[in-house]
Amino acid sequence: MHSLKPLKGLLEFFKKKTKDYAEWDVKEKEALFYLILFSPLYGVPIVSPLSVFELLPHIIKDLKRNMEREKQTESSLWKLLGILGIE
Amino acid sequence: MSEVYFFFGKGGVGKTTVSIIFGMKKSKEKKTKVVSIDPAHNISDILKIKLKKDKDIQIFEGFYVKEVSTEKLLKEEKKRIKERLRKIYSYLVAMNLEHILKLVEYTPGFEEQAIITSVEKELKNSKDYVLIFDSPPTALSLRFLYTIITTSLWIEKLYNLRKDINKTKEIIYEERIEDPLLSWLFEKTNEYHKIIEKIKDACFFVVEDGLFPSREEGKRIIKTLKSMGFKKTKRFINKGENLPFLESPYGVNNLKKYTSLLKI
Repeated sequence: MHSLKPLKGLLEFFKKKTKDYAEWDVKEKEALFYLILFSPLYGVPIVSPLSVFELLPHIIKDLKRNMEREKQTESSLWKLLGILGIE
Repeated sequence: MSEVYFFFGKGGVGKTTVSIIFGMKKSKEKKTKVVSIDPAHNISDILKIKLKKDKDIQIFEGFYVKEVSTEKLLKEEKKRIKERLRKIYSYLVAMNLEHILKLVEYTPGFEEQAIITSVEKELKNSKDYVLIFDSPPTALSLRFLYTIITTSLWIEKLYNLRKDINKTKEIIYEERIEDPLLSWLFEKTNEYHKIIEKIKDACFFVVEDGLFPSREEGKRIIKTLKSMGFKKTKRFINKGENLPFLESPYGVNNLKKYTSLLKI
């Protein structure tokens, strides 16, 4: 059993790296999602402005949750929110 | 399933007059409604009747007209969403809501979206009618159709992206995600598919007045419509082979008489 210890450590290391990467990937995709969703707010009507209106209650809830989870000003989502003046 | 017609064409070729006369003729067979989605309405001028905006007005048995007000629609929509938001958040901490509402109001594409919403409502609520849409002049009409197609594509892309995000989150955090946004996107994707399907099934009359500019523009409209996948297009020559020049094309009784002259 003693000989498996380094392998377990290595597996833990890769597991953590994979999780970190997946978290980073989700954050980037979320930023892209909001970038498209908020498009009417910066003059590119990709999504209907009326739809953004309709979605605002859900978006606010979602954003607040995300904001509480990741208080990292360097993330793309935070940068996007900063550009749009959403604090 | 309802019969749906759109009257397209260059400004001033007589789209409204033709759609009213066509509607009056159709009403002999089935309940018919002419809906003006042109922000510069003139059904009331042509019928010489004062019309309340956004109301179905019965002109005679089986024949109805409606002038859709995009401004009113926008106001109502804003009011409804503001109220909904205020119920959820008594104070606007999360976003500068007023600022955002103002920004959205002046966003390009708003008018087209308001027209889509109106058409969608009519298609949903007037299933047992023959529906005739009196459209705005070419540029806005084509933009309205383009907007439906592009919005549908983007909503679908957003839905797939959101689904992907949620799936990854479920794996990372080992919890099931109930996402109202995803459900909304799913519903919207289906709604847009249905609208496009219905509009693709509609017949597009491209009105010309016999003069060179409207004829050339008509050809371009038909080409564009076909490139967008709207195959049922027909030329309509006003003041020509489909409807002759009318001496006094105003007022309900005069227009009713002219239905016998219509050749479609």
